[in-house]
Amino acid sequence: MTQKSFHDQHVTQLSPKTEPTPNTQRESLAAEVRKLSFWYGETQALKEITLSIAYRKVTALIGPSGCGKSTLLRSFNRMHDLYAGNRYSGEICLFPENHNLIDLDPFMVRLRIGMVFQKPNPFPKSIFENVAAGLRIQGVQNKKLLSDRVEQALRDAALWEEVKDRLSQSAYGLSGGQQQRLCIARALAPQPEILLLDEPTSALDPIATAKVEDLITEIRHRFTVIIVTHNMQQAARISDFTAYMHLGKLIEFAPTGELFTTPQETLTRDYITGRFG
Amino acid sequence: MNNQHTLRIFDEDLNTLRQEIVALSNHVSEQLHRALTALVENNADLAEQVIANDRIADALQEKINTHTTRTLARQQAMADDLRAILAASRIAIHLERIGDYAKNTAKRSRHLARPISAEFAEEFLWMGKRIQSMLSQVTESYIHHNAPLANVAWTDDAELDTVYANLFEHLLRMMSQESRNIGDGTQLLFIAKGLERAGDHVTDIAEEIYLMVTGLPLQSPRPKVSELL
Amino acid sequence: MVNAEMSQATLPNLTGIVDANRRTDLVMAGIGISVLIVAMSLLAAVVIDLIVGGWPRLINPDFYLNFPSRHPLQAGIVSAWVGTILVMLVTAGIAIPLGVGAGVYLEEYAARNWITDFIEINVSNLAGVPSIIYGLLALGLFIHGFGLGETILTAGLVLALLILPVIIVSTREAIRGIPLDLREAAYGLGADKWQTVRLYVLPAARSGILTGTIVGLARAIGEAAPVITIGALTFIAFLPPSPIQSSPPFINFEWLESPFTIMPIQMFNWVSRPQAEFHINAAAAGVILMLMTLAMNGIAIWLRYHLRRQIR
Repeated sequence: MTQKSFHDQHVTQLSPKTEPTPNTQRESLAAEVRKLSFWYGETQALKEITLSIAYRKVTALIGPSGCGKSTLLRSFNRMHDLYAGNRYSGEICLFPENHNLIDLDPFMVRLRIGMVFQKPNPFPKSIFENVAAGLRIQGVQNKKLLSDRVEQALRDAALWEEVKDRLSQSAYGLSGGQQQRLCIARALAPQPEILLLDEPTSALDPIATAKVEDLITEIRHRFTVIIVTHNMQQAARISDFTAYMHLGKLIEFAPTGELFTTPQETLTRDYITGRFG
Repeated sequence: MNNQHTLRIFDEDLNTLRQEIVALSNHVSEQLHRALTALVENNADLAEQVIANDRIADALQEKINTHTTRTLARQQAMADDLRAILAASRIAIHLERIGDYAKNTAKRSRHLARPISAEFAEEFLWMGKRIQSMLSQVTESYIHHNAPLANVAWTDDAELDTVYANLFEHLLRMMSQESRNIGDGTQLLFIAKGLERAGDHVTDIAEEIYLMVTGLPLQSPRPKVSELL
Repeated sequence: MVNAEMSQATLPNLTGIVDANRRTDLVMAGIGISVLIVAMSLLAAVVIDLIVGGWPRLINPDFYLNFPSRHPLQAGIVSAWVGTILVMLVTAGIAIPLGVGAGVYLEEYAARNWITDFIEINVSNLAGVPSIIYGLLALGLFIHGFGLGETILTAGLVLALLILPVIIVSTREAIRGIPLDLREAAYGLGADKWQTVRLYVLPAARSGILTGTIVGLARAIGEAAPVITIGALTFIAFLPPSPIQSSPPFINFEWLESPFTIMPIQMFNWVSRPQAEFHINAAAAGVILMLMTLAMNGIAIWLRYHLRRQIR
């Protein structure tokens, strides 16, 4: 396992401007996974994962099917707790408080960490109510606050211009790409600390995909994003850091530009160059 | 090139690359100017500066190299985007070589026994100016994707070659007239040859730009020095 | 050359397979259509027979407004249809909340253990219990046990019990049909179980639940056996007290304790009489009962459509 510390990743003057330059301060981290293991019943799906999530950056999790990338992502908002027989060990610490979210109430965790799923899954309600859903769940009643937040979220999701005249119409009238951006707006409206994206473009056409990718690179200025993708080119295009996972283990974690040009591990190199064992 | 990519960070990557090429080109042009100034004014301090500053060109080229590799790895560039990234990588190599010739000029200028004559100074300065103007032309054509302008710079090299051929003969004559001139004359010959090579690199850059913009190689054979002698 | 030979050898074969498939399709379509025709004609025969048989009474307005009578030509169904509607109100009022509640509990909240399994097996079995058994249960429990008497409330309760399993099962199925995505989306926003069920699962499942409920009520509306068992009268020459009154509190529940009759019992009564004229009445009442069922289904379809429209 090659774990470059953030100190090691300090990039020299010569590296391109777009490469992230995280410092060693704690404020630059949104979360830290420490020796996280996870079991579905008897099957161990994650094996002592240790990983840092940079604050307001895009971190991509890639790897072959069954490598545990989605399992790791879903641990962040305790989705596994919905189903019986799942077990965690280890920590996922949220900064700045340094709370282990495995010990927190899962409902509290989900208020702080938003999620977007593989298939667009809007509620059978109006566009406005879809985006307002998270706020309503939190008990927000103030109409002004609701409509302000809904507009902001739709703008963040690059959807406002397309839907501003039909907010009261059903979300099902939108195209697949628009529905997915609506789901992103829905997750953004409560202003989560971390946004989880689980293969958000796997059901979309290339143009809709490009729009979603563009909005992800825009929102990272205000949100920390973790994205799981089976499309490693997507990880290359839009992420600042990439983690390569294999059989439940973290194999390599590095700034994206480095991981895709100079991988340190043979497994990583084989995967990103298309030499599957 | 006027329309943006949907994924705007791709545009940012390409823009950064473009700015770095322009920066390297400007730096090399300045180096050349200062090296020739040091030569004709017999200014050893300036020459030292030029030699030291060559490291900047190397660093810039290294930076462009890393950046092109990363852009290729990150963005699945196609068509003119792909040509632009590949062109940037190759143009940077040519620019860095021109920088090396500037450095060599500065180095050799320190070894001259006597200041060079006004006549030679004029010819060297002319060559330097011509290379600088060709460089600014190719840079302009690179920025604006202007293939005809690259073509102009490409043909300008012929004139440079003629001047080099004349200078070559003058230097030979100077050395044959008086044997104590052989030391300085040899240095100056190498400098002149270097400038001629720098001009060739500019024409190579023009070819790269033409290919980048049109997707086609520059067709007609370029006039050769040997044919002009 | 080899390729040409091969294609020549295989082509006729392929045509044969395609032709055979096409023939099978035609045969299956033919069988399907004939089965459909047989079923539809039987149904049509019954309906037409009833309409033709009851026609003289169906076109007489008195039939709808008169109470039962010993004279076939004066006998009407007013007490029967009013009774049916009131009993159905009670049935729906009891069965829907209980059934949907139980369905939601079993599907969403119940822990997976032997008690839940036991309840589930019993619910499924209840759906298969003959309706007369419910009648006996009501006679023992509601009338002799609780002393509720032979009232609309008792009839409503027994029919509610009868259709409860149908509503529970269809509610569970409708809830189970809601994609996991939708639930995870709600949980992902921090919703708790009740918020998820109330705000997202139930609204999405309501058309399925509504369908199951209507199927149940349609069964209840035609049931005579359990209501006869509890001793509903067949000859009612008065209406229950009105549920609405002009003085506050504007509604009253005295009608719940009123004796009553319902359409199937009225029909049963007329059919069992020797005079042929009463059989005409029975046929006419049958048509009305069918129309009431149809109307209920119509309301369900309209509601479903309306609810979907609301979403947009």
